[in-house]
Amino acid sequence: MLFKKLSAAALMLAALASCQGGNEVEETTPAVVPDGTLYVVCEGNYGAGNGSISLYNPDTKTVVNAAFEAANGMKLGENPQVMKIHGGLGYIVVTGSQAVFVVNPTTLKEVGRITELTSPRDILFAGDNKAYVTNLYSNQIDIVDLTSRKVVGKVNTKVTPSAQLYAPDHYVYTNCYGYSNNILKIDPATDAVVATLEVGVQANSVVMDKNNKLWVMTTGGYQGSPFGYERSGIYRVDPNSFAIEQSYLFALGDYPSEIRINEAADRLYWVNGSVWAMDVTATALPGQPLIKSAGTYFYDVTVAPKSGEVYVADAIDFTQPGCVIRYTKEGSELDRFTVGVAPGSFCW
Amino acid sequence: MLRCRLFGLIGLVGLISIQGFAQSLQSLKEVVVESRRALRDIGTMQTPLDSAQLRQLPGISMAEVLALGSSLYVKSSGRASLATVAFRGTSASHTQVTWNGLRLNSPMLGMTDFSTLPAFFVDRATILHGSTSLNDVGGGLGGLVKLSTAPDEARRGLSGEYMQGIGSWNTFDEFAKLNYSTEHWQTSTRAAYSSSPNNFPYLNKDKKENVYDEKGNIISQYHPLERNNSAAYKDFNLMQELHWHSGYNRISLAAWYANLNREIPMLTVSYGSGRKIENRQREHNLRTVLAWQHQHGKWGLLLRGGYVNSDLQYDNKRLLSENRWSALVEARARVTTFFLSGETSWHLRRNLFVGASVEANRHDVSSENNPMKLPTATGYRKARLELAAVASARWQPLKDVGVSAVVRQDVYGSLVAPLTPALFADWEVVKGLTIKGSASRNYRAPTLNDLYFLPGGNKNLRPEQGYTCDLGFAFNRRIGAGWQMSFSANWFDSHISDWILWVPVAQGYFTPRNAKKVHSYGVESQAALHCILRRNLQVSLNGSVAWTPSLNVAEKISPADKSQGYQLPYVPLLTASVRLNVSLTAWQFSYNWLHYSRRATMTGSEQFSSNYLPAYFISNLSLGRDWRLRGIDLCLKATVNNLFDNANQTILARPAPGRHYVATIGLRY
Repeated sequence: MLFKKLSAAALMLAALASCQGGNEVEETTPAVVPDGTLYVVCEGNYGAGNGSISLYNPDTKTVVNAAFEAANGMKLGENPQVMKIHGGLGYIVVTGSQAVFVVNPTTLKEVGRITELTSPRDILFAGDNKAYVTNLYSNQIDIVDLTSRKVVGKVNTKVTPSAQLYAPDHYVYTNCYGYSNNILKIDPATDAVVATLEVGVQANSVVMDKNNKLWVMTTGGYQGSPFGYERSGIYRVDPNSFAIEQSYLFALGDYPSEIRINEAADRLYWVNGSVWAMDVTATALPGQPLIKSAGTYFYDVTVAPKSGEVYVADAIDFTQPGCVIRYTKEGSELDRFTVGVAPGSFCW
Repeated sequence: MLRCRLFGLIGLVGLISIQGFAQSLQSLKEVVVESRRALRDIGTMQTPLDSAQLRQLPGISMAEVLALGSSLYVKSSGRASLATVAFRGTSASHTQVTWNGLRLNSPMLGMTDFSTLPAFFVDRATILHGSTSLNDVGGGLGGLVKLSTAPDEARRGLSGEYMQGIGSWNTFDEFAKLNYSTEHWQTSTRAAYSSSPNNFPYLNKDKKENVYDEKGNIISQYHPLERNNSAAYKDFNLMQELHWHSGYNRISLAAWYANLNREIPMLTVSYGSGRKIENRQREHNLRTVLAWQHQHGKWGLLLRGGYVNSDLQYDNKRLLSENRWSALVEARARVTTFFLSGETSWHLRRNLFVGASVEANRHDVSSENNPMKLPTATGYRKARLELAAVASARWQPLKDVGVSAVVRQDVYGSLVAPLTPALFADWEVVKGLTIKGSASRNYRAPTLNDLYFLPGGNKNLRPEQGYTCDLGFAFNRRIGAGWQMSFSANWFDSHISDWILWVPVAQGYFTPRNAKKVHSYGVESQAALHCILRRNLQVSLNGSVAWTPSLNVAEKISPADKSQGYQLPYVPLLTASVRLNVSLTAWQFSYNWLHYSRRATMTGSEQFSSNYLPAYFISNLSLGRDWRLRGIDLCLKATVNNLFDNANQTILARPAPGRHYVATIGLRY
């Protein structure tokens, strides 16, 4: 009798035990992304590989989350940083996965990928068929052939370049974030650094205004940093003379996010607890924020190219899906929607 | 589906109980046992692990023992990878761990990596749930895992033991133990070495490989069959013990050296080459404890002194070009701890027992990271003296009723914790059936990394505080010759405020915050049946189940916060394990089954596939046989782990091994 019961128990256990587990990513028919859609790049958590792309249609106020996963039946990966569109293709830079995915921007379906990268942080299109990929942990910029999607060369920089832009003067400007205070000027014709400018400690981003002036945001490091700790700031730089024209310094302990600029390139935006905005003609930092934080964890800001509406990413507490809040130019809330974990940058 | 599985499990537990009750009816008249319960255990909730669990395989760690032998949640992605243990819906740093009285929790991180604790280096292991931990340690908001070594006093003269395990993927485990024992002295030396490339194959469903045509267009995609790259390990452990006893006194010295060299596996979403990544941790740990125990009549004294020295190295590098590496992290940490404790106990009367203890730990931590070879490294050097005093009284006013009280005072550097009291009571309703209850306050100070880590340490952190109450029963009965059964169930309810959580900040690093308030509650239950059916046939069946809702109940931090009322990440609602052991003459058969329910990886929503991990099932099976040849015991054993080859993923983006095999040979003299 006992043997029968034990056998029954063993069989029951075997039946329970053989249940399969697995959260396979399912591929679905890619949604067609209309013009004017906002791509939200969600970083996910460190070491979790749960980065994602969310889509938002401002006209219909509809949201598609985890759009890359749905379109491709696989995960986007670890810590995506930026998405950029060039030549009718989308490029999603995924730092922790050491890859750049090339996608059809209307479907997010993968058309190719760039690998053999150390820790890609940003991509810049420095010619019709040429891209520069900066790496978070490398003193080299990878030169990528966009047809073969292979790394074909390196730009040696001595410091660690981060975000970058291609200016009308046909030079590339890049800020260097990791334990550095440099802005580099690179000639894409020779793939060489032609000038270095010192700004504040740890420049995290750079944009160019309508007057072709560079605006550089620095975080100032942190207390105890071996590279120094100082007031964070915004620096206006003339690219021709490659010199600082004006400095706007924050209070010690302020940590502004990356600097953004609107489509007309005449108004700057950033997050420093709240969301702040300043015309490029301003002579001093604003006294009042455009959008005041109310317990929110604003992580990045963007301005819609056509409407000028302001979209702010709220990472909340980084342990749950984030939120994006849509505001008028003047800072009145219009809409809010849930996106992936840690929404960290935008692409229009 | 989950409900069906749950019913199946409850049915199994019920089967054990019914079997036991049926047997008890037949045997009641035969059993007349007069005994007094141990005063020390009044109202406590503890689970001792039997020694067979600690001796399953030579390379097994305490993480695997606890996963398969208890209802605790073990978060691990396989052998030699970080394995943390949590119970009652708390976090890994709320599980305190001691070895011969010495705390094993890292003063930097607060948690313990159970994968670094080989089970063969532990002779006794007990899980103390919730309030029960307060007599030994503070900060165990979940509880305490208490580990110790003990001399083998039963054997005189020279004895030895050697075991070797050979497993899938060139995994080798060696264990040797040498004992020498006289009337007053025992010495024991143990050594273990485990190594493996650990490059198990798995179907990577997080990635796809592209197939291109000659123009570079993708014509098809497939999930690649990959290997767990960059995951090799070489672990060496050596332990020396010396015990002396005479009359009322016992002196013990235990020294444990560990040299661990482990790669950290690549993520399933990594497109880098394993050959171009160096992601490795190295550890050298020396732990020593000297103890003097004096027991004279009703009075007892235990004095302990200990020393810990840990050197930790973590390197994360990428190969840029031939022989040119770029370092992401080059972290070095050194931790030294001096430990002193004194404990006295006195049976004032037959039904009254009082105790008091004091403990001091001094931690010195030096932590730095300098991947870019700057003139000054990033890091901190800090020391903290931690003091604790505990007073306790246990009283049995009636033969069947016991009450006890523990009052604990902890001091962490300049931080004086509030008094943490605990009250316990139990009542033996009928012979073998005891109702238990307890209530306590608890308190956990921020770790040194929480306070001082650069960048990100937060000196303004508040300690975590918790309140816990328990109510349960334990039923234990020996039924006739050869039959024993037990069943226990315990309801608990805990509130923890100022829960410390590391979150990213705008500067690009993480910082700890008092981010959450958590309400965890639930039921922990265990059942066991042991029977000797014939002279050479023994069967034992053990099961444990825990149902642990653990909810974030903090105020919303913003209107967008949707985490309120949701289960915490990586806390399964249901954990269950079953062990079946059958011993027939010289043959041994064992079957282990483990289940974790679906776990959230985020709070607030499960609308993304990566925001949860599906339910986890694993089954291990082993068959062994013993021989005795000219005074030497020989044992051969074959084990199949993950019998049904379930594609379990226990941590996001970390692969777990499928079915794999171990062949073990053991010799004992």
